[in-house]
Amino acid sequence: MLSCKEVSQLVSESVDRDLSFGERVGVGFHLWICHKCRKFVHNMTLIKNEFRQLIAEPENLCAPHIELSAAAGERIRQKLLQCQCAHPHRV
Amino acid sequence: MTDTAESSSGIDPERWVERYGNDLFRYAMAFLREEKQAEDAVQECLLAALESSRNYAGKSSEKTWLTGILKHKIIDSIRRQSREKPLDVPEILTDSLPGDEELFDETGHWFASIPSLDDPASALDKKRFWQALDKCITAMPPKLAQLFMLRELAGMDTENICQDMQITSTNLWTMLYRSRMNLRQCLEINWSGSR
Repeated sequence: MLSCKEVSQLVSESVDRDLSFGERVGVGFHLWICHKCRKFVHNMTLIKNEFRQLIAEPENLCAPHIELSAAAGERIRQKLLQCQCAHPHRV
Repeated sequence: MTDTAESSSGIDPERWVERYGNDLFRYAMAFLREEKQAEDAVQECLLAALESSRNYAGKSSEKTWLTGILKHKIIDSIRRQSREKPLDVPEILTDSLPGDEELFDETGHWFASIPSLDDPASALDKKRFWQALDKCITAMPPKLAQLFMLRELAGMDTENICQDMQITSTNLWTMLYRSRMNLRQCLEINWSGSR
């Protein structure tokens, strides 16, 4: 039977690769009898889902103190203008 | 000089920096952590957007469209960095992370009980959860944090990550496992603990 440690590794890997049939059965059986690992899976799933929501929209990352400096903003604006002037019919 | 954009497609590049500059920069900073790199990513994003503005169908908001392009530029930037400074796998795997021996006993069973993280239900709870998440990612060893973020941004495309970082899949899975365990432990302290 798989240990909690092995189950925790397989649960993490299941995000990155397809587990084999044997691995899935082993993990399923372990989760059926182990409440600590069930909590572990709950927490890992929650973190994964919340993180995906967090990075889905820039508004979610609330760090109002971080701002594009005026100098960098102007530099980028100039680049855009140059690019637009080089291809006036692009837009 | 100040050619006004003919906004036939409904986009207005002249005002991108003013309108979205801060949001895009903030987003890039969350992944890249360095101002210079984040500025470059925003610039590359807006230039690429201008180049491909014909393809903007107006189905998503202008900001969502730009954010989508920015994600690719952030991935490019992290990949460039990792080509210049390849990961030292053994160092990262032993670097200041709790070892398995602190989590599991010799038979591989959990030492401690596992607190259940509550689903953040309200909008306010969500915001607090995300703040805790951000704090915990910032506290991770930087290279590991970057790998974790890259994995999430790039989706299932782990083969390319391995190629760029010159590591094996097994190493990648181990490092992602470490980063997730690290994040979970940090959140169990910072989220459950704050109720």
